Amino acid sequence: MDTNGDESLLDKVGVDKRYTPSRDEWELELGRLLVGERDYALIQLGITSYVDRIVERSHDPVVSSQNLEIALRHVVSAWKPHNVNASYLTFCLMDLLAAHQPPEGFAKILGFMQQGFYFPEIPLSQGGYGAGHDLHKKALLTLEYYYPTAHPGWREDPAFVSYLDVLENHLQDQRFCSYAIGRFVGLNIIGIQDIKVRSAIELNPDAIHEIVSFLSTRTRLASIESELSKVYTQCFLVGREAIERFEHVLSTLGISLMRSNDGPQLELKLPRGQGAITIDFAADDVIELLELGNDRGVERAKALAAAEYS
Amino acid sequence: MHRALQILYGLRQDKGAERQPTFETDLIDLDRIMAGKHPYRLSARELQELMNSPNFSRGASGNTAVLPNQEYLYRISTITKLLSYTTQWHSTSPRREDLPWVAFRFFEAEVSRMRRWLPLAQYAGGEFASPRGFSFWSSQELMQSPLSRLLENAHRVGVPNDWLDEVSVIMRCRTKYLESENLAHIPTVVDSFDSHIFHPTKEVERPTCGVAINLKLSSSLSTGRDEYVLGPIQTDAIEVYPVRIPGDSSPQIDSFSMVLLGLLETHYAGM
Repeated sequence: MDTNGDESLLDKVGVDKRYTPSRDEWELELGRLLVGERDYALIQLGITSYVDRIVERSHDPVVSSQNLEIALRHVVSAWKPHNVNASYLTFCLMDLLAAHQPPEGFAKILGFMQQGFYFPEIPLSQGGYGAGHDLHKKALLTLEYYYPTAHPGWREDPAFVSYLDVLENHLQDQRFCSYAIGRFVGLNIIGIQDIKVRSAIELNPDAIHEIVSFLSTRTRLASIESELSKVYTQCFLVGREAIERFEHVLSTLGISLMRSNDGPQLELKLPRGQGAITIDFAADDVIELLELGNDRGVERAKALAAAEYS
Repeated sequence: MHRALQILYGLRQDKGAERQPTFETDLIDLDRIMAGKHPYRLSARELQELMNSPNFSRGASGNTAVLPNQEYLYRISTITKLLSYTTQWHSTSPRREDLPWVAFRFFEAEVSRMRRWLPLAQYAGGEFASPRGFSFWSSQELMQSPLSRLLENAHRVGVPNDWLDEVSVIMRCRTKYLESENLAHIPTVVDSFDSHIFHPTKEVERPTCGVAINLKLSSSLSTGRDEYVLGPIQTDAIEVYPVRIPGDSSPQIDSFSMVLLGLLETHYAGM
């Protein structure tokens, strides 16, 4: 049943200024939102702003907000992420989970991903709220809202450790490895010289963008210089394509670069008046780089020789 | 409210077919899909049914518009729409999947550092367009302050307060680019089939652009500023400026307020 004649909770609080939605009314409204009955409003506002507006306009916003939190937990408890025909519901719910973070939501998404399942993409041709979005990307970001940073004592937090396991699994996936490696670096779980960084760059060069974007938000120049040097070194270890991608990423982030004397050093001018830095190979990796360069040179010479004889 | 919207729909269908006869059969087809119900509060299922019709899913089929001799066209909308309608999003701050207010904080911080409009290409490399392939714009200049002036100007281009969010964005697009790409079209009754706020121009008068309804509440509504539907726009032709619009900002006009619905009925009936 479509109920475009039905009065939404937003209509009710708009007309009756002394109205505060109860838990049951919130649960019903969430139910209607999640099956798409209020698509006309969600297209404009998104679901989080829509529910915020109801709370703001409620006669008692505190009670309304508490009723919403309880209703949301009920709805999340009943949610079945495996239902492949519920993309709209899942899209809406992800936003609500990111905004309100009921613990049940984290467990549901994580449990689904631990089983190796993927959320689908919503086709653009669907037209409504969420059209054209990648639900799996959204789900990963929703988990990030639960853990924006690694808290002290994270090793003893089973939920966080499970989260890292799920991220680790995504390192093997070409579509999501760049996001996953960006998270590992951002959470400070691994350093940039870690072999996982190189593997991620090899699997998908978008990983360079993830890491460099994160580093460029840092404020200490010395830190940016040393960390970017490490990324630069990793790119050298991966190969020419990765170096070109690294330079391209710098330019898309508004960082202008100049190569000094045709050598490996790069002079970078950071945007927003942050200053200038010079990046070079990370000292720890020079030997490995020279060895790798030698190996590549030998391989290339062999290939040339073989081509000449054939 | 349902009854008022149903009345508006009847009027809009009649006047739309009369003023833009090119689209009469499209309106009849779309009405058949809606089974006589008004399309102004669509559910996801109803929208999907409309999207299955090529008449609806491919918009911006009106005549080419003549653009004003002005550097930019403007648009105001929510952060949610900006993120949803922009393709090939590559920025990680914000990400396309971020919550609107989180995305807003990133834009706001960047504007306070740069003190200028932000190029959309800094965030995404694709195009800006709704899933139907277009968006509404006007030459009405939209500046972020004072807020009351911004809202008055939004009303002049037919945008009520509840189509905006506390975290919204003003956009501007270079007219030279639009001219060179031939992207500006006259809005049609089909483009705005699912919106109850729309003034259909008369085909016989050979208009050069669309005209918005000025939502200023008085004894009657009048026509507002020029409006255009633009096909998919490359992000490098667009700049954005975040703007915070608290829910209780005035002047306040809600799209489904009974006062506005009554005025719209009079406006459509008198066309």
